[in-house]
Amino acid sequence: MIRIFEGHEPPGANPVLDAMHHARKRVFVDLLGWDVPVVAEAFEIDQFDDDHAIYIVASDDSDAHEGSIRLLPTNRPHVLGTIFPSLCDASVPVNPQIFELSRLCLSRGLRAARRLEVRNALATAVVQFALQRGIASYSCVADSTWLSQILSLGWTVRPLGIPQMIAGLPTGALLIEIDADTPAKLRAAGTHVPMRILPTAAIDREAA
Amino acid sequence: MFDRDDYKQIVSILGETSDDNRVYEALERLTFVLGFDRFAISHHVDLLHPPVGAYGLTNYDSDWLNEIISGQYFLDDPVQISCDGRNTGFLWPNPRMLETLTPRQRYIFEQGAKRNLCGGYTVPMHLPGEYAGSCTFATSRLETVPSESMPAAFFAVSFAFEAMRRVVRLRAGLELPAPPKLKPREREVLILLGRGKTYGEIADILHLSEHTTHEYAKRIMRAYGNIQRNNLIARALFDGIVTYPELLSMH
Repeated sequence: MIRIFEGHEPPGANPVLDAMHHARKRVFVDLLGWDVPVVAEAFEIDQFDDDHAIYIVASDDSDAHEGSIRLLPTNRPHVLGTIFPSLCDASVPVNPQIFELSRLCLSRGLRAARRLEVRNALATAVVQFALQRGIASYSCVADSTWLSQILSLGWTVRPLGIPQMIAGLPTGALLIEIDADTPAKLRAAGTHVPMRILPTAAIDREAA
Repeated sequence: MFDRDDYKQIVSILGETSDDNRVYEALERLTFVLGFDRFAISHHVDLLHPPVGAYGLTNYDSDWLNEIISGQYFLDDPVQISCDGRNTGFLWPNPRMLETLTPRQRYIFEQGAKRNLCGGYTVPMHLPGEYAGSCTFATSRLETVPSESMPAAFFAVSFAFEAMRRVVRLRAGLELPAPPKLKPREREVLILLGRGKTYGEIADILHLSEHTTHEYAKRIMRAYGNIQRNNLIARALFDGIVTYPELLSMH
């Protein structure tokens, strides 16, 4: 099941978001050794997890976290603009129609085939969400461990600058273009997961 | 430092083209932009009898290419062997590689050097559901290649591999067949088969009858188009349905 949450909530307020922050801690801190803040020794929560962050979360039938990704508006502080602006040759893309993708997290312990399914479902949801919201593109910071996965989804990706070595890994800024043809590109790549995303309460509020 | 705009334009072409002529042109331009002379991108397969879905592109001299294939250099190529089990790009020759060269590998290196392929940068590529592969950029003067070229090369190669996948998909005219979906119980049986257990042992471990175990196994092999047991394990690893840690676990 894929759900969309708009706005960060502190630990204890929302079990699905808690499970996501816990999974993020297990992946980014425990496994990858990133130097990012940990709250209450259990939850990875940084300065960009705020009211403007949007989370797309995949859970299994028993509501356990399988995967998640964070969307940040680029006209507010975000990872590329705040931490890695030097990865962009020109100015960092900042536009209400451009969001940034970060913290793509697949739960540890998922087996290989399931990881691909969850990754594909999250990507499809990211595309559907963009089409519903009029988001034209996503920026992101990608290191070599994720790059081929991002590209293999089938969408159109452009470099924003020259990749550099960061923390020992080739790392670059990318722009993922989203338009009406993007779902067909995912289908051609075999990564499209048929789904219907129900509008969240927040979308309803904004539309009203 | 190389031409940044040229680089971004080339990568953007690799990011959207499904035409292998354009992939070739882009890779050739990229090779020069990064400061190298030659490129070779390919799956690590038997180049004498490449399987369906494997691909390769190179601007090596045809003489050298013939020598690689007829001499079966690809079987012992120390650069290709260095790709196993690593996901990061590497420069060659490097001390670790030189220490372990066999006489035959030394010979292959020397033959390459005669063709001005004295050193280079190679990016391995490993994705579930796909043959392992790599992309090599080679030059006669590695010391003239700027260090900024390496991360830039790594990124561009990932784009190039994805472009090659689009070319292959387009050629196939349809999506490559998806791996069969196995039920959790079938997967358990598959993992135990992969660990070399007999049907009797699997039956004991899973508390099933031997007959039921056999039925599960037959169902899995049918799902894979009546594949043989040995091929089944290789195929399931290739598709990412089971993983090496699962097969190698002793418990």
